[in-house]
Amino acid sequence: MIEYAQILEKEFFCGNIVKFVLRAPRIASEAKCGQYLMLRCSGEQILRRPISIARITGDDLMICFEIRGAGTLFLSHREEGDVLDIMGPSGNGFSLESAKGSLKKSLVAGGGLGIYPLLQITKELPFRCDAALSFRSAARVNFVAEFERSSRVFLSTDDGSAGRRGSAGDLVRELLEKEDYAEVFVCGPKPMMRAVARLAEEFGIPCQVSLEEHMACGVGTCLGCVCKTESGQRRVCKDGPVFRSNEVKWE
Amino acid sequence: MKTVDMTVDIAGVTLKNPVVTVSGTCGFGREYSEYYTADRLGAITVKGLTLEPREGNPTVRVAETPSGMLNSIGLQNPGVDAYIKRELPYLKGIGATVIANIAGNTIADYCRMASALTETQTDLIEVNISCPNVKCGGVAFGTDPVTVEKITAEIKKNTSKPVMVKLSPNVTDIAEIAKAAESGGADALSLINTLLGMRIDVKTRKPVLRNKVGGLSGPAVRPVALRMVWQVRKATGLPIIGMGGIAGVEDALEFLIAGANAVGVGTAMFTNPYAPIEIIDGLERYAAENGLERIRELSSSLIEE
Repeated sequence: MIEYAQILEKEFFCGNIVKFVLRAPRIASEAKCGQYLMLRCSGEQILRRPISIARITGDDLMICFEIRGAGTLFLSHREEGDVLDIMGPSGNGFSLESAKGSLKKSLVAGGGLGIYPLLQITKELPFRCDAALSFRSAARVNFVAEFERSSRVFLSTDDGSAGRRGSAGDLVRELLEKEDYAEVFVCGPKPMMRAVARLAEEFGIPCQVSLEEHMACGVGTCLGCVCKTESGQRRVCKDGPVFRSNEVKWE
Repeated sequence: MKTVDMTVDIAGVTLKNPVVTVSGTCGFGREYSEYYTADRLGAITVKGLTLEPREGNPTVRVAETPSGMLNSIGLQNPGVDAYIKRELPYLKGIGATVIANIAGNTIADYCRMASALTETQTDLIEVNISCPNVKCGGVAFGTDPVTVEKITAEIKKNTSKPVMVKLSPNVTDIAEIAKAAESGGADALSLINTLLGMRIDVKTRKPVLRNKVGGLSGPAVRPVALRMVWQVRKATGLPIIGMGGIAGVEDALEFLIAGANAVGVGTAMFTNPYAPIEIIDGLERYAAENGLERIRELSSSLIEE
């Protein structure tokens, strides 16, 4: 559906990451963990931008995005009180029944800009999640306090300037060796997700990944955003963005 | 306010209003159904069909451009049989008028598909001639008038359904191509298909699209599409469905005035799924406000000195 959503809160992280809290009661009432919004930008940009929902709280949706190009730059200039044209909730979302029904904790593993859609998982499994958050360096670390309110956070940076030194894969391996998790939920750059998917397979734990692909329509008609899976080609916008890691054909 | 007759006639098929959705932008009518069902439209043009199912090109297949976009989907579709068995029954079940778009590698492909569609409830066949002719080194069928006339004539031999040829704008003289389709027996014309374009990623110095080039659509192409509809209308009396960057009622009016009998809306739906409905309502309002009893009166009403 289309909804006009007022920006209630605006915040910047790390100089170029924008957080909005949007009042969107109609979309919020239907939104599920792991779904995303398609945001309309300025007139010349005819394609909406897909941005993950980080948190659903009553009538409000929290989103975070990096300023990358003309569309996100336009969005970053909107202020509290401005109204955005949003389409959603889009995509299939994470499947949490199994994790919710388990006595074991789950692990959410986020890399860089991929951390945001994982926050809602920790809100639906409060303190039944460990959060492995991996960034390039201390300058890129953000949003940790949000995760700490509902999960136990483990931090890593590639250069060791904050938290453990190493990759997301290194951090996740360490955690999988110590704890017996029910399920792993991952989001981040493709090589990071592939690495964590392989670890989950190695340790015999079910794993869900949230993929990304260049989109146009965002509803499943244009077929621009396909990915290859074991069951054939799938649309990331509609059949995804969440897939079981062993379904994805990692290239 | 007196009711306006919003119907138009395209090759003997009555469309309930002059707005159709364009091939490749609305799948087979299911995805946008949460907004409105396809029976609200003058017609729905389904995704381009090929004889066999096709996976299409590797990603990246879409890219934004100023007031437009490029696509190199590569005709991913479930194949004409799946359309006949699965998609058409759904669309007819909800009362939609259906245009089946067909794309082939060879003239024989087009003929076999046209033949297969004849005994179905498909209302119109739209022939996509922008595909590369594999027997001619991959040059598009639609760039050579001799081929266009031949392909149209062969398709007409293989079906009793009305045949609408969708013209490619990547030609020197669109009126010549239109006349060739008419000579071949086309019952209607639709134009324009996408223009050929590209984008380059300056960080990697590689083309953004994996296929290197793709089809440009959206508001950026509208002046070209409009000019071509105007030119084709001067060259032929065949019914025309005009398309190319139409996003609102004013755009649609320009095309009707220039000579189109109906308009197609495509890329605009990605920005605003309601675009076709807003245009239908806007056209009805315009007609009522301007004392027109029938929307058809608007077609080819351009005043030229």
